[in-house]
Amino acid sequence: MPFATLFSRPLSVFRASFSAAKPDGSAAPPPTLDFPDAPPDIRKLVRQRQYAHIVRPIDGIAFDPDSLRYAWKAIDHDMAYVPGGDVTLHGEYATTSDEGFVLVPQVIGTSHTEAIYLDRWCVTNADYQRFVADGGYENISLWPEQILESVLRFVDRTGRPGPAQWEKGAPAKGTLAHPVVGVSWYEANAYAQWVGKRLPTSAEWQRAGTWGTTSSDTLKEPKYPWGNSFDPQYANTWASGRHRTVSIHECQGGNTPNGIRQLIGNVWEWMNTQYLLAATEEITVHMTDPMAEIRGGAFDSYFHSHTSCQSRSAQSLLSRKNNVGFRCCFSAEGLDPCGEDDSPSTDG
Amino acid sequence: MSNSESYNTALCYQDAPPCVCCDSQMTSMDDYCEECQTPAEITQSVSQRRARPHFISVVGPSNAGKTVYLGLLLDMLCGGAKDLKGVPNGAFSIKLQEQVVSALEERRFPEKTPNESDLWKWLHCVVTDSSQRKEKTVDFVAPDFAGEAIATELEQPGTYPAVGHIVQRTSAFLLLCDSAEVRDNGAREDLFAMKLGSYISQQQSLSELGKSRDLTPAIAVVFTKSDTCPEAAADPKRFMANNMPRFLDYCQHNFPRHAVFSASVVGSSALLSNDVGGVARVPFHIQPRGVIEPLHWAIQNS
Repeated sequence: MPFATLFSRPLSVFRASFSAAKPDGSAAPPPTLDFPDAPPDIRKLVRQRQYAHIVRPIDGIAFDPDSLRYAWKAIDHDMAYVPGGDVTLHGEYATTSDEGFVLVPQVIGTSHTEAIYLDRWCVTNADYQRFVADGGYENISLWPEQILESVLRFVDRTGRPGPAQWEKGAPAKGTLAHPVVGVSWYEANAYAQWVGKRLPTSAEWQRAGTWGTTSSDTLKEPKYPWGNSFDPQYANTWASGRHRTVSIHECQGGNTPNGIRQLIGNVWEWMNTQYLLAATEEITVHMTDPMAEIRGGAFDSYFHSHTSCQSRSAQSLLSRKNNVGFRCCFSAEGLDPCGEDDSPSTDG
Repeated sequence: MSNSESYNTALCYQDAPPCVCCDSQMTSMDDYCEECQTPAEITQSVSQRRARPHFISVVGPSNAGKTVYLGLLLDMLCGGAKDLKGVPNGAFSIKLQEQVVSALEERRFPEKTPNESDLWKWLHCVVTDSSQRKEKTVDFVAPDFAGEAIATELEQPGTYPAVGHIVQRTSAFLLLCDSAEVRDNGAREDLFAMKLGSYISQQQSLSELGKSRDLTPAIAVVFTKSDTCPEAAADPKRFMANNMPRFLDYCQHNFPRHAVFSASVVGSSALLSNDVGGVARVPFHIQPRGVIEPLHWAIQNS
């Protein structure tokens, strides 16, 4: 595929999806594409946002060109292409000072990322509800064997399978377009598998937030997708004063140039990267459960310096916090998006 | 004393208001009240406002999180939180806020409060509560007590006159208890709270009060660090009933105005230990929960 196509296609569809969104940032979920002319199985996969199964079939048997075109149309709508490249990963190590135990910031090193397609927005309650309704919690193939017992405890307030803050198997009224929260790392992974995707690594996530605005003079990554200066209008953190999740249609001033929304603020995002805390030799780090990195900060993040594209935090894999959600991605390697010109007719 | 010396001394007394905490006469030369070690700048700050100060004390055992709570509370009040808005009255009030906020942003906890009362940081903040139809403004005055000093004063009243005088004047107490300590060592924490309750009753001579009017202070029990104790975060009242039954009973009999809260400032953390026996948590990120609510309740109920 020509290089220019890769960049122009997501941008053009990004603009289209903007016009489809309600201007008041309402609770309406993002429009789900529907292709009435598509074969029933393809139509269902697209409506459930499982189109990645079409372009990356698990059994390796390729779909017909028409089905692929339907899938790419949906991918263009929902996902942004993030080119590969290098990012500088930052972290911290624990040591002892006069003030007791402290975390000292450090540069971990440069990490190379391959190109990916990344969800433009976090998985919403509406998306996740389809996963629950499709029996995601009962599908044993989506869960590692060692946590099957915990899956039985992944229930909502009324004891039904689902995110911790839901009731009677459904999210709170008016929150269908809000990122799903109250899900453990395992639930995020199960959903990602169900739609044929995976969680991004920490480096991939950082690349998505910084690649478009990295200065070629300094090669220094910006702190935020929009630049180096924090702006509470662009991200839902403590400073924005809302103190709750908002719809994925809000804070669009903080989008990346290729239309990825809310990387900073609203909800922390689960990463496909284990959190490891380095420490000087006299220190022992006690972690009862393994932890995964979380990125981006949330509606209740107090310091915006903790929510930059470079900063990271962590949560235990089984925790189900009301400020942690996720978005998915898949590798762009070896994929050849179909041209849009001859794409099938669509109905947004 | 020469005539001019006595004249100067008289001038010093004439200019200086009595200590806001213990009413001892101070001079304009004093940095601290000789009787109770309250900083003179607090007395000056309060007297300039010409409003009756509203002492709200944050008390609790050592390591309950009083400094972090108070410092972050002040920072949140400055930014305006829910219906409360605070303006620090004097640069000294910002010292505590600065110490706590700088430390938390660097993902560490501030240094332990020293036991010496003349080293405690104080705050005086004018807080406006706009939750009711009629706005209410109070002069919120609070010291950052050292937990060890409180414990010593409970054992030997009079050791720390500052604690005694402030407790006497306090109209609402925020009693902070470390949730995990309460869960793991409930009886010890329960008994400490009982001692504190009894000390408050004694200092305020509550047993001598008539029953016709409720002059008892408001008590907000706050289970801190609830990020490490989901039971306390989920239902603090039930958590207290299960883990501090003695103090709950004491409150029911002695403090008609009491309420239970949970609070945390940390989103996630790691527990570290070293080879000389030190154990502590380091925070990964800061997300305040339930910090404002106890103060709001205390203002409305005192």
